[in-house]
Amino acid sequence: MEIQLNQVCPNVFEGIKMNSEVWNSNLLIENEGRYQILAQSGRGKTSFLYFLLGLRNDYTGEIQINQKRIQDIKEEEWVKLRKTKMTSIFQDLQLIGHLTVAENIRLIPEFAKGYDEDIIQKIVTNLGIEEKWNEKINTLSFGQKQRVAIIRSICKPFEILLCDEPFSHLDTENTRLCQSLILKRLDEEKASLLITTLDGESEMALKTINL
Amino acid sequence: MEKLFFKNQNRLQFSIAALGVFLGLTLMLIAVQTFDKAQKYGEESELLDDNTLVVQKKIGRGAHLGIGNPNFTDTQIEKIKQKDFVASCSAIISNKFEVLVQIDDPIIPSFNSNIYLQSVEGEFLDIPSHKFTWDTTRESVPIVMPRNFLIMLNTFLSASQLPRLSEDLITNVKMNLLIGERGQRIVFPATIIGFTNSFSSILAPSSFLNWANLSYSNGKDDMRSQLVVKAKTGAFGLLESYLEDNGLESSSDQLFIERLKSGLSAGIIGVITLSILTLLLSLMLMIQYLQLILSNCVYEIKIMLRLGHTVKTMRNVFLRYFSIIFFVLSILSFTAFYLSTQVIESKLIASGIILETGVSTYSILSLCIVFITFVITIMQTASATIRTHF
Repeated sequence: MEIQLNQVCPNVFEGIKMNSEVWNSNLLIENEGRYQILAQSGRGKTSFLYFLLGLRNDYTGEIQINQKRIQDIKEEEWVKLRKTKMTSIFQDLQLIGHLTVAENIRLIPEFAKGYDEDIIQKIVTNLGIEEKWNEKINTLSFGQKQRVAIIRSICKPFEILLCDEPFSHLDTENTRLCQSLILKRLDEEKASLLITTLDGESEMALKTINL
Repeated sequence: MEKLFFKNQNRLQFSIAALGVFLGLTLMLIAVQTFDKAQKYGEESELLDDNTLVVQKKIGRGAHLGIGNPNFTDTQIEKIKQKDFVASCSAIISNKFEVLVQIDDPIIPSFNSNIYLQSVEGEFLDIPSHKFTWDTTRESVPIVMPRNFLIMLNTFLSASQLPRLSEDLITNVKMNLLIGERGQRIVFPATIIGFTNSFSSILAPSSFLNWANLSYSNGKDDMRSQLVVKAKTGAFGLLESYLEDNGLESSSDQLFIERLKSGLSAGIIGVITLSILTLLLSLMLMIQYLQLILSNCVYEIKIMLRLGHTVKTMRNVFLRYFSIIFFVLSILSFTAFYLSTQVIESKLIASGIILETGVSTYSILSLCIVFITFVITIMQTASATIRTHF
C-alpha cells in the first residue's frame, strides 16, 4: 500500500511554523516500506494515524491512499480497507473490557484468513499471557492488554500496520518478542509499517521520519 | 456480537416497553377483529339497500281500543309514492291463512310454531330472482328467515340441553310450512336461503304468497300494515323526516341492529384509537431503549467499525435482536387475543348472536403492518446512529 501526504496540516497547528517532515510537507509512505514517526508528545502523532485511517478529517492538505484522495473514498471502500488492507494498534488499545482475550481477538472480521486460533494461542503463550486467554480484558495489566492489542492487529490479512506507541508499557524482553512477531508478520504479508514513537525503535531497522 | 452490545444493559425500560407493546398489540387485535365482525354482522342478510326502509304506523293506545287503523289504504300508499324523495313504495303482502313452521329433522327435537309470512316486490330485495321464486312444480318453498327467529330457536334448543345451531347449520335442517286449518293442513317443504334483520316475519316469494292467499284464504281482508319504501339517492334524510312528521316509523329490528352496530362501532373505534396510542407509546419506548443501547455502546461500535465491520452487519445485530423480541411479543399477544376472542364469541353466541368465527384478516393485516413499521424504524434508527460513528 502506498500513502501520499501533500501539505497536510492539522487545523490546530494552522499558522504555526513547524519543522516537520510530515506537516506542511510532501511525504510518500512506500509499498512495503517500514517507518517510525519520531516526535515528542503534543506533535500530533495520534492525529496523524487517525487521519490515515479516515477517522478524523480536521486538517488541511490532501492524503491519498493508493492514488485515491481520502475524501473520495466511499464507506464500502473504507470497510474493505479496514478489513483486509489496514490494521492498527491504538495508543488506548481499543479493547473491550467486558470481553475475554479470546473474544476480543475473535471480533476481527477476517480473523480466520489471517492466523487460525491454534497459531494465535501459540503466540499468546510465547508472549506470556496464555493463562489470560479466557480472562476478561478488565482484569489484565496495561502491558498485558498491549500484547493482546498487538496480537489482534496482526492476526488478519493487511497491507499496512499503523501503530501508536505500541510498546510503551512493555519491558525489554516483551518488547523484543513483540517486535520480532510484528516483523515476521510484515514479511509474511509483504506489508508496510508505520510506528509512532517517542524514543525510536532502533532494533527494528526503520526509516525515521521526524514529525 | 449480541454479547458485545446487549450484555449489562438496564432491563427496566425494556420490560416496561415490552409490557406496553404486549398490551397495545392485544388490545389492537381484539378491537380490530371486533370492529370487523361488527361491521360484517348481518351484512349478508341486508336484503334491502341503505335507501330502503320497512315502514309501519306508530301504534298508540288507540289501536288497541280499535281507534286508528294500523293498515295503509291505497290513498295513503299513493300519497307516499307521489313524494319527490320517494323512488318507489309498495305494500308488504302478508298471509291470509293460518301457517305454522315445523322442524322435521332427526338432529333436533320436533318444533313447530305459528308464524307470519310476508313478501315484497322483487325490485326491493337483493336476492337473485332465480333463487327466490316459486311455482307449483318446485319441491320446496325458498324462505328468508328473520334472525330473531334463529335466536328464539336457539333459546329453545338451549333450554332442551341441546347444542345451538349456527346459520350454516340451520340451512340444512329439514323444515316444513304447514298451511291451512288444523286437520286440513297441507305440508310445503321449505328451504332457508338467507337471514334478515329487516323483517320480523318469514319472507316467502310473492309468487308463492299470492298463490297461497288465493288458495287458502280464511276470508280476512288484506293486511297492509307495513310498506317498503325506497328513497331517492341522497334523499334518505327527507324520508326519515317525513316518517317522523306523519306518525310512521321504521321496523324496530332494522333500526335496532343498525343503532347497535353504529354504537358498537363508535365504542370500538375508541378502543382502537386507545390501543394504537398505547402501541405507539410503547414502540417509542422500545426505540428509546434501542437508542439507549446504541449510546451505551458507542465505544464498542467505534471499535467494530475500525476493525472493518460494516454498518449493515451491526445494524442487523440490532434488527435481529429486536425482531425476535417483537416476534415473541406478537406470539404472546396473538395467543392472548385468540383466547379472549374465543371467550367473547362464546358469550355472544350464548346470547344468541351468531358471529362468523375465526380470526379476522384485518387483525392479521394490522399485526403485519405494525411489525413492518417497527422493523423499518429499527433499521433506520440503528443504521443512522451507527453511521455517525463511522
